[in-house]
Amino acid sequence: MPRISTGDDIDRFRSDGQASKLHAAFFIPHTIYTAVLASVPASTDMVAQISFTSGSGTLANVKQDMVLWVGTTSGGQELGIARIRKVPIAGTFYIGEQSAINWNVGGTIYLTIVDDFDMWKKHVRIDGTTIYMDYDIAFSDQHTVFSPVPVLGPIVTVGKIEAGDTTVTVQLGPETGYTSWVFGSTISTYLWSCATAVSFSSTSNIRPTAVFDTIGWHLVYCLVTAANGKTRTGVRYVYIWDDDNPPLSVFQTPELLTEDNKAGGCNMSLVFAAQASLAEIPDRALCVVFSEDYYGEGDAQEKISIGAVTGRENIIGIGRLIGESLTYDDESKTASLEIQGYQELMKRINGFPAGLLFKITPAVWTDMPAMTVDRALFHLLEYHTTAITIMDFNRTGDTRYTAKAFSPFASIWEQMQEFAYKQILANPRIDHLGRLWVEIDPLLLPIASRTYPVVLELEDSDLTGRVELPREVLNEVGQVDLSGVVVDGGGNGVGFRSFSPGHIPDRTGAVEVSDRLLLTDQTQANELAGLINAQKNNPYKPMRVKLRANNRLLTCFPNQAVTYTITADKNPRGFAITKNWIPRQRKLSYDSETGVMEVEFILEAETIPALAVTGDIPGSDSFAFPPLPGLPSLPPLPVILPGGTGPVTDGGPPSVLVHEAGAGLILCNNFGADENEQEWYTVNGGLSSGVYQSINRIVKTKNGAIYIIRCGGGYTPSAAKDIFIYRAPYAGGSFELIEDLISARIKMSAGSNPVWIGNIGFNPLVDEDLLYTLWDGSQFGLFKGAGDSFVDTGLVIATGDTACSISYGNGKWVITGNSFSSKMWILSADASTLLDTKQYPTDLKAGETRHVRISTTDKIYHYHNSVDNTISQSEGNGTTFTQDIGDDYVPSETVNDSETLFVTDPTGQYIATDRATTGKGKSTDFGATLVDISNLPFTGHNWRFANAGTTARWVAVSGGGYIYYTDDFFASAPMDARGNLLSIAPIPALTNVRVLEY
Amino acid sequence: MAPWSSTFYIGTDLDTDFDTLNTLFEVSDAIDPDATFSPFAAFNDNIDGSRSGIGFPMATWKWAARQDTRIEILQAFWDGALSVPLYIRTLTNRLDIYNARIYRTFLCQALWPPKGEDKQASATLGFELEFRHLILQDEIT
Repeated sequence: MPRISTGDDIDRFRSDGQASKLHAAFFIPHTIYTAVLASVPASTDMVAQISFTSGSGTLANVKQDMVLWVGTTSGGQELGIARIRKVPIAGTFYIGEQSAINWNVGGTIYLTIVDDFDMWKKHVRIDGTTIYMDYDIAFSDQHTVFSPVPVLGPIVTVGKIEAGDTTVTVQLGPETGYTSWVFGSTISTYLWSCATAVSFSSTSNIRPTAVFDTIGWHLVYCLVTAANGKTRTGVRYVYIWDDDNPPLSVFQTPELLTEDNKAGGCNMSLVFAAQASLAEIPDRALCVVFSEDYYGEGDAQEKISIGAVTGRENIIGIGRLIGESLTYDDESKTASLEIQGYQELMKRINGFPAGLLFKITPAVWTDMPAMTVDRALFHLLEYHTTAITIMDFNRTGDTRYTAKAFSPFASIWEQMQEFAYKQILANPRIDHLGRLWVEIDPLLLPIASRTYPVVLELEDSDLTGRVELPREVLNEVGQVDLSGVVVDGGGNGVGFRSFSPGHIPDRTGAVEVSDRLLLTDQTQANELAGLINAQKNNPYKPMRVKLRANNRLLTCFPNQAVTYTITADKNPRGFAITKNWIPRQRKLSYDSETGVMEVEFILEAETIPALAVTGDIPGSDSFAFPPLPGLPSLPPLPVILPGGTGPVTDGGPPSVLVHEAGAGLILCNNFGADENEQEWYTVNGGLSSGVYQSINRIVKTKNGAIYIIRCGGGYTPSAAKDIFIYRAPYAGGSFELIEDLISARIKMSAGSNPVWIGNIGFNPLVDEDLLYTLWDGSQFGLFKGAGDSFVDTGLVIATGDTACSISYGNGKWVITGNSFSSKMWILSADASTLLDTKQYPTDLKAGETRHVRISTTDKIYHYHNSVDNTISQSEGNGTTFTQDIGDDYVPSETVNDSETLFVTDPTGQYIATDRATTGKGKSTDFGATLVDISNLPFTGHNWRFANAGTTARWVAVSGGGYIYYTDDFFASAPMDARGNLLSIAPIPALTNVRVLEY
Repeated sequence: MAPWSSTFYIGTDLDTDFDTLNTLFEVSDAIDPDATFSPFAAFNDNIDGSRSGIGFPMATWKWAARQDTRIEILQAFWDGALSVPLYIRTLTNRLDIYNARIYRTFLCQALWPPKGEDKQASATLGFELEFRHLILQDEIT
């Protein structure tokens, strides 16, 4: 992470006499093993392994991703190079599949293995329909039990043995705040090793130090082990020098380093006078440019380098030699070497097409469970390149799921952009230390998420030369038309669209379409549209400034900012500009005569989001449309007697929705599969964790819409467990807010007083018709409708009941209150007229505070009697009552979604219920007798039930983490239907269950 | 190592090869050069109107006339090159409590005159050595 400048830093930046000495070192690989080709491959095409003889060296020292030089002379590479794709065996080198080496030149072909770990692509091989990575790696558990990603710090660390010393201690590992990581597990151990180091402070620390006493290049390895058992080795370099063995001296560097946001990295240009060591530099050599820096004048002159990463402050840049320009005349000759950061290699290496699909249970390389952009990038970098070996991969941390990630035959860089930028507007960047960062641009981050550090507060005295700031007053973009999808935990998407500033484009500027994005919900989509609009129409164009200081603390990557105020008196236009500014380009130039390092930046002003509104999705019933008028009153509908409300499939019900206290809503669309073959996934699209974790009521309407509710009292709108009603058009769709405390207070004219959501009921006979109650401390208000068209029925019921049960059947709504003195209100079909009232002690018994209706009949069970544990039944929607029809129904105290705690089949004959004694019980005789469900385990938690359309088919879930299915009403041992549930919630606390399809 | 005197020194190693001009030329009355010292190699004019010195200090030693035998002794440090890293002790622009300019020791890039020298009899006129990239060394106490 960028480091915020300290007072000492600023004192040095503002001191006189700043100067630097510049050095460059090129890695000349060490020979690890030599051999000669034993037999010429049958073809030069698609060679993936070769045989060798006359080996010299220790074969065990040949490691994966080292390089094989192939030449006609010992140590030569004129025939080509290849990557060691896996450790060799006696007589055989396994190389990355390639066709570029001519093995048929005749004579002895020399093979030299060197320790040059570089950026390579790994080829995909398809044998029939089977995909192999890197020629022969078959798919097994790579996408469920992930390999760790070593984050070991900059590619090169440079240390100097000072005069009079015999050793130097160098810092290894990543900067503070960063560690190796792994999907779905944690890092257990680190094991550092370096054959040429004197010692380590610790070989198991994340960031140890190491002592060296030998000049030259050293290779440091770190074996990272994850708790899931997977391991991964990363490689980094250490370069040690002293005054007697200096690195190359830079002769001229008119433009030493350019780090550019658009380029995604840095490049360096070094001009050397002819010197013998230049001839030793191999093509594509790893290069590090570094400096000795001085601050302060006179006796205060101090040698210190200032940078963000401890122990690596002296590094100017790291890259590979990818080109050169040779100049000579009769008096002199020079070589201008072009050093490019690894982004350039990744742009020039074309990878095989990479494609991934969201799949809960992966079976092939193209399947990825719970796929995010980070997971897709990991797959690309780990299995299509050698990047994970040689550089840090700092992921986005973005948790949005994506249904697919695909990139055609393109450069590795373009493939990363395809995965990251086109979905979440994150860009890959490689900093001057060779570390890969994939980040969302600062200007596209919501204000609250702009947590990147402000490295420095620039003052006028920090700048030299002149400041140039262009300003544009007409918008370039008149409207941002943004669209994208929210993908749920099952890989299903639902679309959203936003306009910024709104439906009407601004006065100037074209329409900017930004589509196919991954979104979180409508609110986020609107915010993002506003962010894009603001960025595109930033009135302040990039500002060029030249720093007075040799300031290398401020860089372009990762995300960071500076502040700078242009005072009104400085601005010829007379107004002040105070902003955070984002570094977009950094240029270092060096004057070898004076030792002056000049630092220039192009800065872009931060923007704040523009206005944005919800857009219209053609052909959808999105809430983007104006609210629909209230629904007309429904005529009485025929009673369904007996039976369920939908077809019953063979096997178990296909679709079941549960609620888990931590993970929220979890859906299974293959519930009828064999035991433990069920694939569960979260479907919380559009909900915050605070919302989906506090759901206590779920309703599925006839047309498949899902309502989730938190009943109870609402006191503080900001509280995570505030009251709410959300609706999704289907299970897996994105939820939209229908009601919360703020809107409920308005409806009940409650001011800032608490308001309760009593409960919600629905009419199972029509597509979508619901009734819910709000209680303001003295009365119920009733609201009826669907979607965002709920209207006040006008009926008010004065009561002290805060909560209630609501059901519809045989043309009437019934509400029962939750007070000990039981009450029952019978309403008309449109819920606008109170037809009758029943209550304790005449009709209902004390404590019968819940009711459940038998299908859509007018028969109702009244339960939850904590006085004598009996149940009652009414008929004719409260016309007659039969008390004490059953006994021993010991109610639990749990009230949330009590409809799952006392459940009947469509006939009313079969009842499954919780009991405070064992948490489970059943009746097969209309409630007359209740027995324990012995085939369900005692869990210490309530069992909750859902009927699956027939008298025999039921689903039972427990807070203890069980999901069972029975097709004989628990007469035999039910089927364990947890499937992959434990991978979502290791200790699932299930609080609700709904069968969505029978 | 004894503390350095307030006079000019030059050499390749502070411990083993760092001598006064008297010692170097094996005389007792070596002529001190006309020394200049610039604390900065360049300067910046800043946006707020201030000016800051940048770059390494620079120094020169100039003799109006330098005997060729002395030049030959000096030239041994360069061994034909135009620049070599050397240690020098030279006058700075700062004053001590007696208002005398103080000496300081530096590691530097010592530059041999790049152009032809004005040879007159057995001496060179206007002989000037340039020292840049001056890095201050700790004083011996």
